[in-house]
Amino acid sequence: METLIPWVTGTVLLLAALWVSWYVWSNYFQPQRKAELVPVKNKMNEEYAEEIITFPEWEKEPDWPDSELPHKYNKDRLVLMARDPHWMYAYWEVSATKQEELCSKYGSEWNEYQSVIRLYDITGVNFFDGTNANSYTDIFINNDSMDWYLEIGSPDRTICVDLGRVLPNGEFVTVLRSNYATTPRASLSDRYDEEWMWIDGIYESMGKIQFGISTALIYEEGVSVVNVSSPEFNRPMGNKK
Amino acid sequence: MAKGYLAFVLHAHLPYIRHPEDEFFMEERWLYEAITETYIPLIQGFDRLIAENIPFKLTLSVSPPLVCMLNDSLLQQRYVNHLKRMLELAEKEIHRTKDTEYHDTAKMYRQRLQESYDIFCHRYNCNLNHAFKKFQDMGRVELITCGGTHGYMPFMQKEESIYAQVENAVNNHRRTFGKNPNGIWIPECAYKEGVDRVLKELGIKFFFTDTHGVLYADRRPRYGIYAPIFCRSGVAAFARDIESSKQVWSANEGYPGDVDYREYYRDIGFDTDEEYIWEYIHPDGIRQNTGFKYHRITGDVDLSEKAPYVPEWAEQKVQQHTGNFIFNREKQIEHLSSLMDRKPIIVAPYDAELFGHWWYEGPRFLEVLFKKINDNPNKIVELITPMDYLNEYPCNQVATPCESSWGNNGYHYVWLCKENDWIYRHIHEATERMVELANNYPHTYGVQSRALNQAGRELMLAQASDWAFIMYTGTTVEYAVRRTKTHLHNFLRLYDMIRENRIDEGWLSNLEYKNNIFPEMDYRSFRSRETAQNAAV
Repeated sequence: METLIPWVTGTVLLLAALWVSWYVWSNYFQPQRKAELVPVKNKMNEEYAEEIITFPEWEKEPDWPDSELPHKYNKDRLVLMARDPHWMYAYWEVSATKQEELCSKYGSEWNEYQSVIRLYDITGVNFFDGTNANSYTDIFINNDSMDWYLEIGSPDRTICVDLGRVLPNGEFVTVLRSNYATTPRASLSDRYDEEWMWIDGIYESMGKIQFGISTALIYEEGVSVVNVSSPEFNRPMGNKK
Repeated sequence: MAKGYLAFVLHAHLPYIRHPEDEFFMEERWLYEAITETYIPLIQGFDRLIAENIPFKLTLSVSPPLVCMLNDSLLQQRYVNHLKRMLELAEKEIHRTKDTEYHDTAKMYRQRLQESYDIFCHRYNCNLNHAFKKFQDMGRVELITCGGTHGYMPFMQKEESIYAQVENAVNNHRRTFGKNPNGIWIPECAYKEGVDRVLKELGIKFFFTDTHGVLYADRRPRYGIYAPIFCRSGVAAFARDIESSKQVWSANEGYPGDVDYREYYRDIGFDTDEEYIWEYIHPDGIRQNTGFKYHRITGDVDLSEKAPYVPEWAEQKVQQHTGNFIFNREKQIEHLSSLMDRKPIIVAPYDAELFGHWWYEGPRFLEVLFKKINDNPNKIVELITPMDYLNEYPCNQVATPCESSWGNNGYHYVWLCKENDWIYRHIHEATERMVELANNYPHTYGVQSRALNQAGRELMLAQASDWAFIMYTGTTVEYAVRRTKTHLHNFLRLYDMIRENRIDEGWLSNLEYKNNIFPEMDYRSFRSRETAQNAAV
């Protein structure tokens, strides 16, 4: 057994030396593979208004350049997106500043408290101030997740969500509030009253006449929302108010 | 006098794939295959119809990425090289298949490739946009545009993105085809309330939705999907007809699945020995489609048991299926016109690449169909474009289309699922930064202006719905992920350079050369518009 020890040590040393020399060789001495630089001529002799040029040829890159994206952008943001009549998707990020703020306010145990998404149904609500939702549901989520799929369950509902945590005394603390999103319709409209328009908007002014209150009008009112992390997402698209 | 109208709409689109650094880039081949199998056969068919003086009408959306690729001289040159290689292979195939039942098919391929070469190089100067423009100027084809890079509009949280997508598309369209487009194919038919207002601002008069986009509109449309509705903005929405789509789209009931049509999945790129085919597949030895396919669908049998393709049988089926298609449309229109106080319009939209690439006989089907509609003594069905229909019926019902897409399940699932949801965090952040740049740098020149334009290009390329779609489908995912990351990464780097005023001009030039979509790009298309600013008050 004792005679084996120098043999084993010797073999290990030899292997290590071989590996080091291979590593050095492969990194420093191996000739780099290079694609040939051949200018390619435009062989077409048809008439062209432009672009009769010789193309510079870039070397074929050995591998795609490393382009990992940042994990975080250090912003406070909670974005809600409707996926289909029954589901929505939310993603978020809490900035370091905000995180510190909360920790100093609620103590270092803050990070241990249960994360919750509070899902407000605000269908038909004119101005959502955090208290006047039709109803809300709490969804318990993992503390370290950064996105979540939310089951809404029915079409044509307008939703707003809060990301927050529940304190030991049961109090819910809002960290971020989302934009509003509406699940798409999934059936024939039950509104039969008709409105007709001539091409190129002779009835342009009709846009200002309101027929009953539908969810869409919440947006048309151009409501400004306070205390919202991403207010720009609440802006209706192309609204002409 | 026709009792109703049929509007055929083809949506031609491929993602912007151009890799100057690699002569044999795998995914670049998608374009070459589509040119040989779809665009040229369609153009050939239209040219024959024109020669025979048959007044057909068709709406064709040519997406801006495709327009730019067809305009690109590097890709044109590479296509010609590709075509030459395929012609060489065709000659070899003639010898290889001698005295076999595949010989006639081999001869057919050789002839078609020779014709393709002639059409591409000699008739249209290596630029197929010339062909599309010609058909437009002759009043046969209504050319419409699409989202700038086929971006998925419902997920563009900032309307500035939708403006940029549509404005660059319209500018690109005008530059190539000489006039503003009347209509647009909104990418993936994905509509969300508000998109139409942007379209209106940029002079677009109509767009398309899937069936339920109009059927579930609020208020309920009187004519269902057989007449357009006006969005409140005054832009018209036309909906896809279910019946006619099923006949062509459906894998089981549809025409393309007929036993005598050509089988897509048997290709000599995969079937022959490597030493025979190696020059015509990827130089790294990766097997690829060559377009030489010798079998017919045969029936529900294993791929290895497919029977030989017989061109004459396929042609007979084309005759039969066109007849059937017209018969069904006539029945449909007779029924509808008995219920409606105006002529119904049946909108039949398809991916152009379905015709020819997947359904080999598709272009021939269209040609025969248009001819038969013209020759038909009944004249119950007439071909029309949406714009002509709007001119005939300028008064339409006002309703808000239902948020929808033509993807699986009809909403946004395909573009927002576990496989691709991670992209939106980054795209939204980049969009915010781009809008910030466009607003903060209204007047620039020189290298700064170039960097801003390139930032716009990189962002728009990242927004393309194709990447999310590929991630969803699960094939060539790696490429789609890389493209998304690379463009966003380029964008973020450009953003920092612009903000810190230290632009690496060499790197910028390289990017401009590589990702050269939209030569006429103006980053200011990302600025916040008056209307948006007012709305925020």
